[in-house]
Amino acid sequence: MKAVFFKGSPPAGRDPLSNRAAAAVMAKAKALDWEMKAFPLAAMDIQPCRGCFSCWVKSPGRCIIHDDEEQILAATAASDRVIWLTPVTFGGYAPELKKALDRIIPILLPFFTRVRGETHHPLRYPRPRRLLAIGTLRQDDAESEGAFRRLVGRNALNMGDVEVDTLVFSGDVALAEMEKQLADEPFFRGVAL
Amino acid sequence: MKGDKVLLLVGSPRGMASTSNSLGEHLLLKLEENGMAIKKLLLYPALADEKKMAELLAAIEACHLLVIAFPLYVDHLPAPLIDLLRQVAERRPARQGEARQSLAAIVNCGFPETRHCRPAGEIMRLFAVQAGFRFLGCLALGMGGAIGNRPLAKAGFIVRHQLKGLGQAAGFLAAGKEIPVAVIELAGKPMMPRWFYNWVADRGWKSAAKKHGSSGRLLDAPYAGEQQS
Ligand SMILES: Cc1cc2nc3c(=O)[nH]c(=O)nc-3n(C[C@H](O)[C@H](O)[C@H](O)COP(=O)(O)O)c2cc1C
Repeated sequence: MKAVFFKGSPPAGRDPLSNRAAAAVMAKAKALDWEMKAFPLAAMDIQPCRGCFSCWVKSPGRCIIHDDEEQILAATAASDRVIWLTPVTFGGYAPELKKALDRIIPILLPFFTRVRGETHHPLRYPRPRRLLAIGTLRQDDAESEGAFRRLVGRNALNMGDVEVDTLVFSGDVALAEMEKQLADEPFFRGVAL
Repeated sequence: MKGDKVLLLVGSPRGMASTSNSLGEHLLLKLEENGMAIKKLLLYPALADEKKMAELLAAIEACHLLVIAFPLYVDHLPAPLIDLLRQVAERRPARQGEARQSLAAIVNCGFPETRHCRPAGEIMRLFAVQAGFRFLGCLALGMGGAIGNRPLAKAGFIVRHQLKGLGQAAGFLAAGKEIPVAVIELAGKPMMPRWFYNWVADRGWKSAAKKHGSSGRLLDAPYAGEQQS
């Protein structure tokens, strides 16, 4: 199984909960013997998207900015499983994860297609993928968690209507508990698509 | 309120050439007509310029009404804008609940359906709550590509609902009131039939590719080799 891990924890030490969730994901993938590429986004050189659409019309499939996002694009194109991890920030993603997601659009084609009655883009690398989005919250916050879950659902639709699981760890969840919850996720149960 | 300061923050990397700027600028002019003192700043030039960023943060603290105009990126706000909001919220922990200032937003997206913008509106509202702003509403519209960088008033008949909606929204914002749902819906009305927008957009991608000499390569998959590795 080829997996790509968008490790969107803030810079070292700033968010122990997020780092713990990252460790749980790494352990789980290792136990399953997945071939996983993990990207520590906070430490990577990923410039902001310029909104120029060169990746669609000038150099199709490639961003004109040459930085660490290229490795992420290559790994995502080849992946069966994608994991996003982020502290829930105003009900959405923190900038560490989002800077990588903004630059992911070269894996889409510019053209429009209809998905569940809405307009979306077809995938450049169609493949049965599955997405797991993990959010961390320092304390229970039903409103933020609800917004986060809805956002992930919209993203899944927008990224080729992929199968998606969403997990939110809130409060001071211990590593063992995280590992247990991850083990229960259909995402990690090797469900064939 | 008359004389109150409004700051428009344009959160698109396309800056002055963005749809966000066209929409925000129009609202700003209408707010000025309603007696507000206006100021506009662009986010992206401040990203790599400490002095500009400090000015921007100070202007946010000094305004009565903050209006953020931005494009929808992957169903959400562009990353640098989230980063800014996080900084603003972190600087205001003591302010929580005080709501001395107000916040409104305008988001536009490239798909024809306005509903893609919903999560972004929710995020703006949660930011307002967490950073201690009174949230006055988020205007949202699809078909953003149809406006481009034209001044809104010059975009013609297609933007009649947007012109009216923004004009009405300005009246409410200037009075310190929430934008009513009916006004948000008016501003979010489609500018043209969906099939027509999609047809024009598809042609647009093809003609842009032709201009760049990449017509035959639009479906290229440069990372496909990775799949075998
Ligand atoms: C990286 C990126 C991601 C985008 N994601 C979406 C999206 O999820 N949904 C959508 O409808 N449009 C999306 N768009 C299209 C923009 O929202 C659209 O082009 C908008 O009109 C740009 O506004 P601006 O000129 O103010 O930057 C995206 C564009 C870019 C560059």
